[in-house]
Amino acid sequence: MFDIVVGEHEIILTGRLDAAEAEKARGIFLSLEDAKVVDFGRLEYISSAGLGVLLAAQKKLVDRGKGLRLINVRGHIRDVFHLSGFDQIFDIG
Amino acid sequence: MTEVSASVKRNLGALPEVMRLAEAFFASAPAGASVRFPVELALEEIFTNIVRHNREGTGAIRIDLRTAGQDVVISITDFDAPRFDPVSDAPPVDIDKPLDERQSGGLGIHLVRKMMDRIEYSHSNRTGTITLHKRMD
Repeated sequence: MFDIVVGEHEIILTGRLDAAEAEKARGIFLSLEDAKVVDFGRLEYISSAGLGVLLAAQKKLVDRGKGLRLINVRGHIRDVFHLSGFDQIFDIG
Repeated sequence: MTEVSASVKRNLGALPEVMRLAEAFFASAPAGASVRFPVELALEEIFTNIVRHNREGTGAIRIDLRTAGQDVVISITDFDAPRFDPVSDAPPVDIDKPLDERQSGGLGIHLVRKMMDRIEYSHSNRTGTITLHKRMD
């Protein structure tokens, strides 16, 4: 199960963001026009498919002087971000 | 010893079935979340790599998960594949590049390399098997 809820300033991810669910996330992330906070507190799993979506969204937003801020990144998901070098290209905290 | 296996269709739509197999395995394997997460990730990355890159292949993909001593051992077999080791033959990924030079391609295999303790590949008569080991301790 994967769910994504987009609020005015915040995006809440819940469940498992794998290759089967990444297209759903891609459509939403690539339509973002403004900086957002992305809350990972309820996300249980992410694979490279989900990382690819975040990377594409960040590239698009940073080109416009904006960007994503990732919060509640813990445990295994923090490990994946670190091993991918994503902690160098995202504001995590 | 815990062991589960299944033959799944070679398309992305079969990924939930692959993940259910992992769920069944971890319901009885003596491994915690620190093992489960990397094993699930490696399983997904190798399976999706086969589905995406061996488009001419036909037939099902076989997946086996078992415990052997202190290891979880994952084997993924494609019975209709040219010789291609997705882990050793894939170019390395530079995770220190600035954002505008980053590509998402190759990241999955990069994570598999980092998270698994041992990776083996064998190929014979168009059958390729990738075997991944993850220590449980």
